[in-house]
Amino acid sequence: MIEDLEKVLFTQSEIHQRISEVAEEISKDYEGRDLILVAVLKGAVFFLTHLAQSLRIPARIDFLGIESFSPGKALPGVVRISKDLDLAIQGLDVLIVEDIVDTGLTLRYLLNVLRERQPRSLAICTFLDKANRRLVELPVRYRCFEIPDRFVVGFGMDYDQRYRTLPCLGILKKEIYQKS
Amino acid sequence: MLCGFAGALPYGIHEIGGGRKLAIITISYQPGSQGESIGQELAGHLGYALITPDRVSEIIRERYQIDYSLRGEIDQTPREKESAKLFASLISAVLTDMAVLNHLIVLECGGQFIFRSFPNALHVRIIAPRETRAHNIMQEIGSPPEQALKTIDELDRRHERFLRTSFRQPVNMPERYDLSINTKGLHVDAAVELILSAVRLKKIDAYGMVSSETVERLKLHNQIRLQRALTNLSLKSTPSLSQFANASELVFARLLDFYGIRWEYEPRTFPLRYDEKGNIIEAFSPDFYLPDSDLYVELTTMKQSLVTKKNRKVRLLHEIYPEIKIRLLYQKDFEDLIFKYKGPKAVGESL
Repeated sequence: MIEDLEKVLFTQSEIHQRISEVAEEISKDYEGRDLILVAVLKGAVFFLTHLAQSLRIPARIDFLGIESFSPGKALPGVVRISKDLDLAIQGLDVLIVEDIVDTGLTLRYLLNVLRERQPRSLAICTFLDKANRRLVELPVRYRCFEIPDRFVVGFGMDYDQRYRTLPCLGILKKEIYQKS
Repeated sequence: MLCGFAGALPYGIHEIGGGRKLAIITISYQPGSQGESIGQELAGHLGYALITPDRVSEIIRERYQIDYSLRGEIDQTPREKESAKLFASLISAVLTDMAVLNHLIVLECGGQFIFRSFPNALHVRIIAPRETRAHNIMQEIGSPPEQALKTIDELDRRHERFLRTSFRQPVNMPERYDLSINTKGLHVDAAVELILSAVRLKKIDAYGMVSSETVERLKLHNQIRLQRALTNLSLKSTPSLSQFANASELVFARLLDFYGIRWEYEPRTFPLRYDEKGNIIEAFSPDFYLPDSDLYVELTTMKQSLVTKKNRKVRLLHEIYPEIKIRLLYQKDFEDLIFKYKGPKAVGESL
């Protein structure tokens, strides 16, 4: 699989190192508070696992599933929650854990939904950030890596359900996803 | 990109476990060359679903409440460019949806263009001399010889126009077909046998494996194309929507509304170049302004020439107005947004 990469952006050890640093920041910021990590299925699961294991403070974990839908003749591109949280978040410090943030539209939707449940605080932690694709402002408090606007795979990021298990993060060769 | 007409699949076809085997035979035929009978008999032999122009018209009518006939009265094919594009998108949508569910034999309908890059497709062209075809027409509808010849010529013209208008493709390109059969002196059974041999040799039923995710992407891409075509029609017929230049802009405006993001449409024009007298000779009006982000957004399509042109304008804007924030939003961004969260239940959805 590694031969399908145009370039390795971050090695396994670089990724683990960076996640540890971010986990340390979170541990300091949320010390003594009631933290809950909310991961968005499925892409964020790899990141969540490593992040949670690297925290020095206790944290609860929950999952949120979202899917796009186009009822009737509605235009595509809107999302709804397909799997809601199991835990109530009122009064808790919620940290949304995402694999990648780009335009920010979907996260904006999630923030609006979760904010109505009156958590004590609401912030975002993302493994990857394509900041130059952002359309809306978001409270991204923690980011592991800012990456260029390229097709990346590995460490949970997939193409056609492949490459997810690669321990590193790399740019996929164009001919892989453009071949006809 | 997919669906269409333009050829290549957007995402590769992979032979992986858990996918689906799909085989497609497209049959394009000259009127009176017995192509329809060959298609019917072939479908019986192979057990594939037979898709005829009548069936496609029926589905388009049921699903989209649009009444376009694909058969006989092909002169109903819209002449106007936008309607013709919509027509082609509708046909493509219907056929692609069917193709991810069944092995197909597609009679006419531009199938040879829609599926031209599918590795699991066999494209067949059935022809016969004009006189032979006229003879077959005479037998079929009992018209006199001269009338049969006129009918043949008229049907040929309509067919050519249908493909040119809807798919912008000429029909007579031999390299488009894997197999061409002249049915003069050849019985339907013999023609079917030839096609069956080609199916075995090309192994389309053995190698036509498409992963479930690719199937989903095909359907999604189709949905977007179709939505754009339908929206273009509503833009033309609804004055309140006429502020938008195209369907992509309307889609984006509705997305912003859904996500509760305030927007303004083309609120400002930025002069980019002046002539020696100080007259503006080039300007740029980004499509949207998002006041909460203090950000301008320009939408782009898949057309590379337009993307290049817009990239250049954005670069110029950055140079002249460095304080202005602007983003180019590509069609792929829409698709990614939708596909990332596409639920597994969508796999296998039927018509």
